Amino acid sequence: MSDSDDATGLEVRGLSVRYGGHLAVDGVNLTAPVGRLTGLIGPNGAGKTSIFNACSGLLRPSDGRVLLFDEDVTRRSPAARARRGLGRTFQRMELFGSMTVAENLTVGREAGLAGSNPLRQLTGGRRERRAVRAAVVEALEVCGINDLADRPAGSLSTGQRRLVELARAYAGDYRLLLLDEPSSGLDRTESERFGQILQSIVAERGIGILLVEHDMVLVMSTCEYLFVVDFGCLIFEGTPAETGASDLVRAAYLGEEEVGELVGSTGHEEAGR
Amino acid sequence: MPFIVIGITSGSLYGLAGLGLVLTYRTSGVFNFAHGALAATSAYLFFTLHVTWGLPWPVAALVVVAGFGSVAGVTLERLARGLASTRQATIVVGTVGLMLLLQGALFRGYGVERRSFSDFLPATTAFRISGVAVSWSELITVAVGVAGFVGLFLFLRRTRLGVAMQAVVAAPDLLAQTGASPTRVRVISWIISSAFAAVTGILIAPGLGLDAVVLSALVVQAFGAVAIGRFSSLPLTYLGGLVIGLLAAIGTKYLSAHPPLNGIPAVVPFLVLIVVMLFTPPRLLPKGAGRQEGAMARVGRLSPRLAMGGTVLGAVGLVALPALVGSRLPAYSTGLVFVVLFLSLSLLTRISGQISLCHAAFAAVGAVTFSQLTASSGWPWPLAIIGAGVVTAPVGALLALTATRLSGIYLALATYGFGLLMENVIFSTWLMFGNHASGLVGRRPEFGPIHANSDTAFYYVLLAVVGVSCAVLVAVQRARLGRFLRALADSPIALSTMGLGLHVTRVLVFSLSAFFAGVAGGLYMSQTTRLGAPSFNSLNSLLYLAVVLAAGAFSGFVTSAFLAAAALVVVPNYLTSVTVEVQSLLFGAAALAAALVADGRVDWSVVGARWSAWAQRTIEGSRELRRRSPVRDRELQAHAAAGGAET
Repeated sequence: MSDSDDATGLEVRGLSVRYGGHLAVDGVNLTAPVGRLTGLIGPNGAGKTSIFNACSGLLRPSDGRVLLFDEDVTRRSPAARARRGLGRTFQRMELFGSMTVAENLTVGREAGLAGSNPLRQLTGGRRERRAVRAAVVEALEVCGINDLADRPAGSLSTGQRRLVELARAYAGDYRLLLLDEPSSGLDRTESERFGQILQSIVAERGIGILLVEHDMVLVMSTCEYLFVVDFGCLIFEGTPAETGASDLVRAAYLGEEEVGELVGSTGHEEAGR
Repeated sequence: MPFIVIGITSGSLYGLAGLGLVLTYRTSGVFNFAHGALAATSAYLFFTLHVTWGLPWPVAALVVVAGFGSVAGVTLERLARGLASTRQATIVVGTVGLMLLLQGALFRGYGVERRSFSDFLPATTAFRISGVAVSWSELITVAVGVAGFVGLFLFLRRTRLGVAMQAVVAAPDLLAQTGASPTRVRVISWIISSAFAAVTGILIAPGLGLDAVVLSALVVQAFGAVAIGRFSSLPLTYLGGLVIGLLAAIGTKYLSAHPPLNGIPAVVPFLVLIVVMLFTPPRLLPKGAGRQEGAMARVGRLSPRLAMGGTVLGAVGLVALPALVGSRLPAYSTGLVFVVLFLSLSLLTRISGQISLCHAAFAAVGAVTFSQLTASSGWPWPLAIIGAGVVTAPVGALLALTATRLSGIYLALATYGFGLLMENVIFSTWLMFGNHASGLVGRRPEFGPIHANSDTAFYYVLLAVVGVSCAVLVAVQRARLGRFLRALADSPIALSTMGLGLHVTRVLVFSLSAFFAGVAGGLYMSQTTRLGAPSFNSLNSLLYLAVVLAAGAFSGFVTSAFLAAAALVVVPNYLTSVTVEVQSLLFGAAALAAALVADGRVDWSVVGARWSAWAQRTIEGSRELRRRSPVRDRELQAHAAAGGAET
């Protein structure tokens, strides 16, 4: 906390989440700095989404702290966290189905601007309106969905919806994004394109992304650093190569053949060391 | 201590009714507003069999409980199944529609007046406790309640079907895989629930007299019991019934001599309900059926030119109206008043995905404010109308603040409770109607030397107010707030994780809606020139929501308000043979049908888009025109594509 550098991004310390008698997340520590694509992987039911919900404030952790840009936000509302620069997407997509794609993106930007100020919820000034429009155009451009702008979000295919949700989060001008399985339901080409978009967002905007993902190709090719959870505990952290080489991670999650295929020679070299 | 005996007797019945409600709410996810109406229907049927036909009471009771209970149970399960996949607001409207339908049918069959109905159980003293005589009838009533509770409890714990019933709450699909049919289990639960309602109705009718509205309101008592059971626990629900019964009896004993507090016993269940909801974290309340997200089914939007044409045509029609309808003009004027009210309700339910079952109370606040401002304070008419809105808005804000964490059925119940509270406690105080038997006076406007006293002149004043209200609300919808409201209906979770303070948004929309409801109340007062508290009773709030949702199923925001007003006010003026009772029946049926059909079954957006496309082709006709306007053509395709994808 001595140097309050934005680079710290999101920091989770000793986070535990309890559902009744079941401890879903047990003392997890992880960091997602800005300017980096960080991955959070693990088998189904390992507690990834619970960690996400605790980070974004939808869930109250039973123990531990969530720091956002060096500020303790553990007791803050989801909206307050969003206004401090934390955006997210959902595993089960939460688009505004009755609105057009452009309107979805507009709300994505305006929600943060309006916050809890009743007057600003009513309407925005001329300059603000122009800024919102620019942000929407840019988000449409970056995510390559210009052609969908006037379509109702409820009528889109899964792949398109994933892109719209990403674009909406992008338009929100967050410094840190939590993406919950953004590529589930996408085919190989769509997911490749998705990975490229993510990388370009991080490179150009300098924001941080924390990614929960089951698509190992996407994770291994885009993330710079990985956290692996199993049964609510953090069992490994390291670069994709180190992760692929870890026997522990293989046993818990990746399995044999898939890893060899994905990480290739690097993984085996690291393992040999 | 006689009031304790009374309290336990009636409480036992409330508990029994509450058990039925909880049972079906848990197994099917549909909260049955018509539960009390079922009890009322049973009581009337029993009256026919026992009193009119002279059957001995055990036979008559058996026929009603077993016969009517089964028929109602099977029917209700079908209805609940149809409703379960719709929006939460639609489910509320569906069962409210059923309630209105049953009430209307009872009015039609038995007349509106309350009939006395002598106690069929022996009223002789069974025994005495510390000097208080307990009659056989009271003893039997309590015994039936206890037997129902214990029987249900053992049934759920000990029998295979009962265990299956518990399973259907947790995981219907899993249950289906074991070979048991979730549908069959649900049918049984609805039959049990209906039979309990029937028992309650039959046993409670001798005390209350035969009155469809009063007996239907029994469900209100059960709401309190259900709230104490947190919508899930059967023992707590039954206990809750006893608590409600006792509190009401004690309240009646000690408060009946002190108006306005004498209204409190009637709203005890809702006070309990509101307290429980305020202090129970929403995650502890079981989730009902129905989609939370999703604004009203999208109605295919007309092209700007068509919409403009329709608006101009409609406006011209409205301006020319006084020349066409002659002496029926006052009905149209009242219709205009209701347009404002329905716009305000539509803003909440249709745009923002919220529910209000207290709009009549909002209108009452506006009406009283208007009357006071013009009559006592001598404010000019336009200021008084705005004042009516301004005073009502904070009432809406207050409600939004207290109910801020609630949605779906819980929001519906909280607003309904608020409405009943207003009606039973506040209406009769000096703050509102006081004890003016003939109601309060409303003035017509004067603008300088011009008096708009005549019906025709006042019609145009109303038309202007309606025009301004439409313009303001449409503008709000298109502004930033409108986007937030639609987003709120679609996905509140996403909206909150984007940084929007949803509490503020909800307070804003409830205030705005209350403002226009208040304005409508003021206009109503001015139009009728004299109005009393009965014009704003809570049953009206139910009716308004039903009409608005029924009309909203197949028309746009503004159009549906006009349609709803026409259906509620103007059409009945022409059909004088159709009495108020039949209206209740018709509106109930329409609301139920709209809830079942419009939301989900028939995709009106496709119908709308097709109709729009057809109209476009007919009007714009020639290919030439379309070639000149490729943009419009693309829009048309997009509509068709959107509609097609939504099916």
